[in-house]
Amino acid sequence: MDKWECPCGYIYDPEEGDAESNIQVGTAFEDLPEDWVCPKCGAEKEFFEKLD
Amino acid sequence: MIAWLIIGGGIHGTYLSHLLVNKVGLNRDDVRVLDPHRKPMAAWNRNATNCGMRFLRSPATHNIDLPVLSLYRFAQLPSVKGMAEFIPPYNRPSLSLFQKHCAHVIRHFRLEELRITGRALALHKNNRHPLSAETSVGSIAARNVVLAMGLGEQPYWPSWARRLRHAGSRIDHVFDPIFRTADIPGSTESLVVVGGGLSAVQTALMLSRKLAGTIRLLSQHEIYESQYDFDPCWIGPKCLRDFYRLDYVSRRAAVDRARVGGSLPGEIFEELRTALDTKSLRFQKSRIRSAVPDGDRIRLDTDTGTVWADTVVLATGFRSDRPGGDFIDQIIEEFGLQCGPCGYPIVGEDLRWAANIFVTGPLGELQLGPCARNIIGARNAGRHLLKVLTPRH
Repeated sequence: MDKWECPCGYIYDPEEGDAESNIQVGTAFEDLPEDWVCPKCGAEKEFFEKLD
Repeated sequence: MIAWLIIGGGIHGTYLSHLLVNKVGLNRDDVRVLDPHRKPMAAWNRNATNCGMRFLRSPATHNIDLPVLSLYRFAQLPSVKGMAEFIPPYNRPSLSLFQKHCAHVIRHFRLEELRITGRALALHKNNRHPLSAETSVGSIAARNVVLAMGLGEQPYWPSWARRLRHAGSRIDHVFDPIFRTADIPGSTESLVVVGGGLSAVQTALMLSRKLAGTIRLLSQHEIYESQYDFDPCWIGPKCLRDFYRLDYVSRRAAVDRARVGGSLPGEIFEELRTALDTKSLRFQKSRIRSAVPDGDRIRLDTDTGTVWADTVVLATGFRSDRPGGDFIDQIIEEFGLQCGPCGYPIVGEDLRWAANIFVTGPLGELQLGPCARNIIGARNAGRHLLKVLTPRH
């Protein structure tokens, strides 16, 4: 599964999930809730870019 | 007449010129960057090299190109891949990689051709054109002006240090344009670096590698490990949402609190610890009370005793007063512009200070928050400015 990076530098890695927001390990970026935001800076999903 | 004149050609001015031409789609002839230096980002590059920076503190997404992942993609090029270095977990690029990427962006998009080498002296209202910039190379008429000056021209000299310099002692500031580490004699037996931030530690470590004599770092406070120089929540809405609700006195206080110095990223902290263990560098938590020349040497009287040095190198950062000096004073007076009690501009959400005058960088601090002066501050400023412009794609 792909990693996605926020402009602030935070990287969403499905293998880690996002415990702070109750996102389970193994959740693909595409499956994150629409109201999920970057845990570091609060940016919305639309600002993230997929890492090559 | 040009559409946009950007005054200041550091990271902010260079990025915004790129944005205006290649995102907004303005004609290249309609955008100019005025800066005293011939090369883009000259002061930033000089300061980064002088203080011995090896890796940036910001992640690779903080770069001067339009796509957020441009630096990563650049690092994948066959000609670059071998030297592409990042420090995890936030993939901070090496200075060398960052500078090569900047040079690549500047060359590829011909950003250097947008530059005018000169200094802004005054900005006037004009009957025929909205604005007329009086510069060291003549007048420039523009519909809009972006003030993008940084703090690079105002290194902080404590009063004791100014007196010492006036007396002819060997004291320099690492951010002075004339400072060159190569000018420090190899025979220097005792050198004191003054400062308590990342630049001071990097400078001290670099000098301890170059010189055989005793290198001592004097800091007013303890130094600690932290990945960031400010919480990344300030880059996005997580912290900025509440920031916008504050009055300007509280905004200044919030910026100052968020940018507390004295922290080092992990790898520098480790390097410092090793240097202290091997005694190639000494650290002393002291406040300097006075300093006097004594023959060829310098005597520093501190609150923990006397320290002697052949040479003193200041790494005390920049003065925090509003950048731009007399030029900005003149604009404030002529255009009747508003400033907060700290002297910094009060601007709108789109960074507009007056009808056709915008700010970025530290001048935008009361709107952009603690990240204003950083690379990401330039990108955030670009997003705000886009609100008044129509993107082409």
